[in-house]
Amino acid sequence: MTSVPSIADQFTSARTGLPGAGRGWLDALRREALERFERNGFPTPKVETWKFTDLHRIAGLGFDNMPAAVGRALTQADITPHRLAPDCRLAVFVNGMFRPDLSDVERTEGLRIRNFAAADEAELHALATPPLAALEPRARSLADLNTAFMRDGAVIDIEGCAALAPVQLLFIASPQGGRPVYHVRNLIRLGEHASATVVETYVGHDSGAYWTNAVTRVEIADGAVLRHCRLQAEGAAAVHVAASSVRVARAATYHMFAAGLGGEIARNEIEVELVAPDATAELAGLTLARGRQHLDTTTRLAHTQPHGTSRQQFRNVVDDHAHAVFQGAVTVARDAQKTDAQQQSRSLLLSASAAVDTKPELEILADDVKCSHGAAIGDLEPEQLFYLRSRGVGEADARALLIAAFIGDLVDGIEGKTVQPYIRRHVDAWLGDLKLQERGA
Amino acid sequence: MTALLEIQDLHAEVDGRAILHGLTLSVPAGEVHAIMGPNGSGKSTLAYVLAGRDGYKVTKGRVLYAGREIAALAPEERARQGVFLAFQYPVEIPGVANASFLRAAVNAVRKSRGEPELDAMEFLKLARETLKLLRIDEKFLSRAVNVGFSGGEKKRNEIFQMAMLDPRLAVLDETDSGLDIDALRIVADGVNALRRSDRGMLLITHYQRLLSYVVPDRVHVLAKGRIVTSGGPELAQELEAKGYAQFEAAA
Amino acid sequence: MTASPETLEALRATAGAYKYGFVTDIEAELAPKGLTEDTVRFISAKKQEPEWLLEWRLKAFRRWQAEPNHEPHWARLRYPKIDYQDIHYYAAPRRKEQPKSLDEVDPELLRTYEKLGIPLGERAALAGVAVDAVFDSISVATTFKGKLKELGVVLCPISEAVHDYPDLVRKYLGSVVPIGDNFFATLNSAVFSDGSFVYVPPGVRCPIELSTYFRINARNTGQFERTLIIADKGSYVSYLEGCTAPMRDENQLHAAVVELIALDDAEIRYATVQNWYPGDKDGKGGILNYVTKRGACRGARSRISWAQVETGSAITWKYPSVLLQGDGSVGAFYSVAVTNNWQQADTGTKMIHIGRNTRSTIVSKGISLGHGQNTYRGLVRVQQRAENARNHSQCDSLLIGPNCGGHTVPYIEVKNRTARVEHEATTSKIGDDQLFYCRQRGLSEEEAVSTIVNGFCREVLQKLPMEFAVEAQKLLSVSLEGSVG
Repeated sequence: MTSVPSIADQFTSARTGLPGAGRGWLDALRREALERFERNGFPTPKVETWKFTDLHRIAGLGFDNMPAAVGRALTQADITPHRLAPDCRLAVFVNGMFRPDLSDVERTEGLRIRNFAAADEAELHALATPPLAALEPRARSLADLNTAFMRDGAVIDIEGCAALAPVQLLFIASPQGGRPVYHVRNLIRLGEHASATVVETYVGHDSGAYWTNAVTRVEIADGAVLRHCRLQAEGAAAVHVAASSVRVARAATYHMFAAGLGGEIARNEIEVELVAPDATAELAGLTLARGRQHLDTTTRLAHTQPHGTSRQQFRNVVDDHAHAVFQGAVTVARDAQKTDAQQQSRSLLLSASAAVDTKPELEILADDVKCSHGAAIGDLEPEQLFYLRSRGVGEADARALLIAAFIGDLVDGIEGKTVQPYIRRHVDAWLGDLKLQERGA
Repeated sequence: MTALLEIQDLHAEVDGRAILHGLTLSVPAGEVHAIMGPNGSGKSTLAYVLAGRDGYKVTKGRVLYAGREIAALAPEERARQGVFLAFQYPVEIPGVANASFLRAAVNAVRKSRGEPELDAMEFLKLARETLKLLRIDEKFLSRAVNVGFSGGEKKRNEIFQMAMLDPRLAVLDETDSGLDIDALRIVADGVNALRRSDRGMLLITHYQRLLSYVVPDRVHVLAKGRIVTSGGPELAQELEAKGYAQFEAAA
Repeated sequence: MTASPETLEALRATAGAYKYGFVTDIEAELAPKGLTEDTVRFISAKKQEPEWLLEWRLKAFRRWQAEPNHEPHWARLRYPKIDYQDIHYYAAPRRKEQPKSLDEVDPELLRTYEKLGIPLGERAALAGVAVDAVFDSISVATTFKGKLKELGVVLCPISEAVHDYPDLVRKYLGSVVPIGDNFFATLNSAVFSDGSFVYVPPGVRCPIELSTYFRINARNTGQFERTLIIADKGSYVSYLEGCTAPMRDENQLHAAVVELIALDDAEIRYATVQNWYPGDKDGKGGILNYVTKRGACRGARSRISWAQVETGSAITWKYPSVLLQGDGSVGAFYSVAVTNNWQQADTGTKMIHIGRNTRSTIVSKGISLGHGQNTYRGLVRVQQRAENARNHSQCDSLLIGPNCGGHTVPYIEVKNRTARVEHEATTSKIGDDQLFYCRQRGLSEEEAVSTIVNGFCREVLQKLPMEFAVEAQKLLSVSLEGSVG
């Protein structure tokens, strides 16, 4: 792929074809973002928040930021296996582009789903708001690249208190050779006291190499509740970089469950800001890594106002030569008195060559708070293994049982009766593929 | 002569919420009075107001202790003058040994009385004697204040501290709650052992059963922030049989 | 110390030829401001160091000079830019203006000593009263020295060890903290002033805390302290650095390096109390303290523990670490750090598990009040070969007042599945209910705070040698003054 033009050249030839082209402010925004990216380049481990994830492997490869819009002719039959539930609203994106023919986005009471290309001026402004603003520029240069090339994605607006069917955004990659990048930009907005479930699914339809670079912005108004789920099950040769930027208003609640098990290299960044008093965030995540996968979950939870509550629970299971990363920063601003923030991360290493890097972080500037984090890394408890074996369970079965238990109660905690079985299906499939040998004591 | 504790028309609020509405009560030295009342009647508020907890504000009326108004005094000042509160939920202080905590407290009280401070040996001697009297394990001394104590142990620790600090007025806030019968007896025996002609005691309780072991001189019923009726020990039995409903209606 | 005539002559001969040549009188007490190759040569000549050590210093200097912008800024510390050319890098040990008796000493200082419970006999020495003029504890020191000599324990300034034990110094100096380890260690390697050297021979259990003696005699090691402690096979030593008494020093920048080496079955316990000048109530002045402390558990089953009580300095940048190389070796870090007024501390540890069956423990207690900012930053790394490594970390922060901050940044890197690493951290304030409980028992608010804080730190204070722990406890109380009201 030595013949790939430089990113600047790609941008020059692409920009007139990008959605919203011709709007002066948006053209300028894209150009400035590109200039920042050119200046800062790919983040390196010298950037504190990228300490454990090194992208130099992909930085030099040369990606096509404006791949041809045509995808393979996927049909409903290709979609069905990935569908959350038959009655959910569904927006399908193939190779980063919206496919109305495969989608079910009919407008219903309280729910409106559109794609980027159909967005109006106000929606474009909201979509374009830069994510990860709190980070230093070098840490968010891939989000800048996204801003420069963002091409499609979903705009979801939810109003009122009606009970709604879950909404699924399904991103299917089916690359036609080359090294395409899919710069996806989503916007999810909940009005006051609204309640919704939104699931983002990222899957690879075949084994080609590609890179998903997704940015999702979430706005939750006063008293609203969002149950947000991300399933990252990209193809084996994929790179997945995602940044979710969430703002939670007064007495609103944000639930996130993130399952990451696909891709060769993945980075799932979740930034949540509790911007008004009495807001709540509950984040949970499960990373299942094997082979030579490198899967990184990085969260930043900012308490900026009083009486906020946050709960975070993350688990990693790492096999073979895989490498999992969890970084979780919790910040409590001076005004955020009475904050109650807890975070737990646990990692299970299943093989001699597996590795985990963890960096939980507390930065606290208010004195009347209760904050804690905990991290534990290790193998299965030998006592538990022995106990099971002493009851006649074979070692491999005993290990499988304990691994399933390690994951299980996290999955049990997922809210929503469609989402939980959906995630469980993927987790069980992963567990089914575990190569558990009798290792001896 | 005024009583050891004279409460006159006491009105008090907690975080701006009025809880006590004109409570009047008199406890002479040498007597044990019980305050009984249903949940939410203001029992714990009364205890905290007497001890001077922040956020418990007297809006009207007077609290006279040994003839002097104490509402403006800091909690430690009252403690040093002989007011002791046995907490309903004794607080844990990790890392601080019971012995060093209590020695600091005893010496702070002694110092304010103009008595010489106890050195480590003298303190230990006194503490051991007291523990023996109250039939409490000596291990209490080396354990961190209330950390890892069972409910019963915490309450016994309060009685032990009361004995060591030698107060003139002891307020026991639901010291009987959460105790099994054996623990209750030990606590009651401790209280009885500490009855004295120059000491007044106020037992705050929801149930009558403590009063089977510690027979009070007077029983007062507190409902909706005021004393609605008073009587002898027999009043406690009546309450046990008939409940608080009649008094709540009266209030 | 006086230079031999030969050295002087040699120095004079070369000095004039230096590019930036300051032809300083070799008898000078103070090197001119600034750091050049000449400064390094000057320091080395002053100390009559052998050629290899001069070369070693120069290597460090050249490295430091080549990387002038490598001053680390990843810590959560804010301070004005340091002008490294505006500093004196050599000052002869001060002998001037010593008070002749306690009557001449600032009464404020004496009151603090009293609060800290420092034994009467030591107060004079700490206040800088000429030791031989006052007191016979020098004979105590002599007794210790005799005893140590009998056992073969070496305890001397490192500047003497360079001459008396050159093989040991040459073998181990820079073997744990290499010249290029970090900006400040490189600087220290170029210009280190003095410090302690300890060698404990095989099988010897050093019978005394190397403390009392040192407290009195090992002051004035200068701003670039360098300490090297070697515990040979099966030996044991407990070393105490610093002192609870407030230490005033007009040198703003301190960059110390401490290296510990424990061979098979050896154990080193290193305790520090740091109470340097923290600056005034408005954050003016105060020591900038950049310390590189690292121990290598080289031998099987060796043990190194660091215990520190940090209450002083305007800026503290310090991560006493252990390289767990030997199989079955054990590392520990126990820390209390208090930041009051405008103090900032970024401190923690690194536990690097390299050998099999290695264990480490981290207990860190950070207390912030006033505008203080307190960061725990620690790394636990389990390398691939480190079968059955174990680590437990507990990091707690206590915040007193609305303007301070407490931060916890642990890095955990595990490359071996048999490892078990656990980290827990909490941040909280002193509970209102705890304060009220103490006050109801007669303690003043200040006593209550100090009681609760001492309880909070107990796990760490317990790890200090006995008499030191008592002083440290009082030091904490003094450091908390002004926290309420």
